[in-house]
Amino acid sequence: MNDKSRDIMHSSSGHVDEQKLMDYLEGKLSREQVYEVEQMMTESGFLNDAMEGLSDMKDKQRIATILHELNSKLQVKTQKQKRKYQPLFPNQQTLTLVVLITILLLVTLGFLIYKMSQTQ
Amino acid sequence: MPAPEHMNDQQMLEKYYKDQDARWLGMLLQRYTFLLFGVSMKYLKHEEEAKDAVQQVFLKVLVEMPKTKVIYFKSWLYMIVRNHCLMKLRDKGQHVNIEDRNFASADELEERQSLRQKEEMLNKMAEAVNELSAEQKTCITLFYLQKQTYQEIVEKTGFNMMQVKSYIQNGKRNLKNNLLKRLEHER
Repeated sequence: MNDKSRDIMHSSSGHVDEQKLMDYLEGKLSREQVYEVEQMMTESGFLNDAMEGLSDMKDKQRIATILHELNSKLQVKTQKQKRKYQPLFPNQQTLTLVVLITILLLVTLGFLIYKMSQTQ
Repeated sequence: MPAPEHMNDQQMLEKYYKDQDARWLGMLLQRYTFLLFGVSMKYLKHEEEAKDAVQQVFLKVLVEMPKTKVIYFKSWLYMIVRNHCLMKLRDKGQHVNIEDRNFASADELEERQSLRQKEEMLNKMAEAVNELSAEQKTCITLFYLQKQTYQEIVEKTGFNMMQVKSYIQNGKRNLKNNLLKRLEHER
């Protein structure tokens, strides 16, 4: 495929234009555009399998509804997972400081207990 | 760094691994919902089951990604969805004949191929085409050289759509293997 046709078929992210693929399935593309889609299908097993699966669907309008539904659920899932792992101490310096203070407190406490037991 | 909609997959992956924010992964996965659903439909042939399969794949990706360093996201995802669907079919006791088990790795190989290699192969293509079967040669010639669509090839040859696709896919693969052999032989 030449660069010009790639520009027509691909978005700025380098992905195939989903609307073009839908139009292919619904038979809305020109002969040249059909050929471009089919050429991309021969280049990618992933795309070829997907188009094969979707072409079997009788109601092509359903595809957009299903994709919207799946994407909405995905969005909910990924929003929930936002920063799932929040470290208690954001950096090594803070962690070292906390460990030192804890050791100091324990030593002081131990010393006080020892002193108190001595006086008794 | 460009806006998310202009980022390529690699840039999104980098952002995800850097920020550990699942929203990047969500945006990346959304680019593949169409393909994931299509592949699931191809194997499972049932709308609800295909929808479930896509959601299972989403979940698997969200769980696996923090533990895995993925380089070729598209190929990795293709492998996951195919394996998931095949496992589902196996659970139902259905046997699936896979024409090309190395499809995912073939995709990966294509990504890795340099332009120079492709050009070299194109030069050798004319010789290698003659080594294909008659059906593959016809379909490959009509598709790549005469730029005919699948439907036009069906009408011209009398093959059905599945045969045309298969002759082109397999012909292309054989052609590539022939060319690679020739190139290796020359080195």
